[in-house]
Amino acid sequence: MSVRAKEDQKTATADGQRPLFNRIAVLRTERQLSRQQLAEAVGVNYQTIGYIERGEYNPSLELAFRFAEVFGLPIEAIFSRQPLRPLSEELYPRPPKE
Amino acid sequence: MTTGSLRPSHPLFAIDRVAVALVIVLIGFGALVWLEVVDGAFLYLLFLLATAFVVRTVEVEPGAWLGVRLVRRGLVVVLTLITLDLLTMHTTDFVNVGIALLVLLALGDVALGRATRRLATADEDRIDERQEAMRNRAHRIAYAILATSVGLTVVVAEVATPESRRWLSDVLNGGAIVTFIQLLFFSPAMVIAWIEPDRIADEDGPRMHRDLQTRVAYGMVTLAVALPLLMSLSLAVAPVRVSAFTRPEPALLSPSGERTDPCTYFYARAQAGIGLGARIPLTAVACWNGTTAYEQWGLNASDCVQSVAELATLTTIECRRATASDGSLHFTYRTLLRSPILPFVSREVVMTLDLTKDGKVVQFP
Repeated sequence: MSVRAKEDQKTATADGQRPLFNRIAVLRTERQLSRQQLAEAVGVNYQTIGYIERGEYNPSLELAFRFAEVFGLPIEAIFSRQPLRPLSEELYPRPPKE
Repeated sequence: MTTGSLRPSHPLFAIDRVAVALVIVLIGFGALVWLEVVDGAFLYLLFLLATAFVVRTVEVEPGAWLGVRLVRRGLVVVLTLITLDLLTMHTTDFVNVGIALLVLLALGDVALGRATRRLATADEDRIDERQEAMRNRAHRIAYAILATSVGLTVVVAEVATPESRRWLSDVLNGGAIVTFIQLLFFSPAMVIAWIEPDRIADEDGPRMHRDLQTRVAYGMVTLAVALPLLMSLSLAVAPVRVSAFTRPEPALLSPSGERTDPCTYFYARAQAGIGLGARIPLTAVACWNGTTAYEQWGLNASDCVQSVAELATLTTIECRRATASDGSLHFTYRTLLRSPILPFVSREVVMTLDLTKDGKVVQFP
């Protein structure tokens, strides 16, 4: 088993998928949306929002696009295969240390 | 795809409807069994039925204690143990203990339906993609378990030796059908209860209504769980209630016109436990002639199978009639009552009749 596969196995979701990192919790808080409100906006159960935020469920492409539409952001700003950096850090990156 | 809060629709064979129907059927059987005497056990069954209906009226609360995976897994383990107990239960125990276990199983299935929010039987248009994926995965696992169970049974029954077939028929008594139904209808819900992660906290989910109805439902559930334990303890703690009387039997005349030996009619009934226990009767007519005491009828082995158990197992330890060298008559019926819920709780009940050759009652019961 490759190192990548081992890493994937360690971090797999409940249904065995590779985890998908996301900023939904941050974006939801920023827009002052409750899970229930966001769930209604994208058409899922509010528990599903919680599972996605916790990284325990990977949404389908269709659902990911709906999140993008609701937040008005490109998909890659919300979901990533790699751990996401804080938005502030992306907007105002620290100058490289000399 | 759902919009708003999840309220799965109710198809005809939904998990909760099957469970409630099962409860109603079982109560019907229970009513037939206990028709003669309305006792604590029967009232308890009615209480369970009322509890099931009251609990059904309370809104499902996501994030409540049934949403905790540990609790749900505990429920699955309890249901599995009850099913296994029913599967291996002897037919003679099925009438007493089996019905109580079936009612508990049905109530557990209702709780399971609430814990999984009936995802296993929900229509596709009422669930979202995550729930649909979980439901499909649960069905795959559940029917693999069902197919394996049935397949193994068929293999043992058809392919193996006559001894194993005999073993199978001994092991699988009346509970085999119940087990099959449980696996068929409820194993997907059991799998969902097992694999679904902890629900998220209800920080912004639908709030639970802490109204009177909910409090009553919680109280009834608590009482429904506590009552079998209390009834089991009553078997050991509550005194055995004994009612007894004797009356002289009218003397009969022999064909030659002479009076026969004097006789006495003995009746006693011991009742142990409250709701869970047994009624143990002793009825006989004994006579004496100054040389020896003897039974006219009763005091036989058949008198040791007259006891009526109520949700308890009953084992005869001793059933003995003897005439001593001094002519006195001794009859002892010793039985052990045991709670099926708390097997370490038991009570020994002894019914005794000691009659001297002169008709003096030394001990009764």
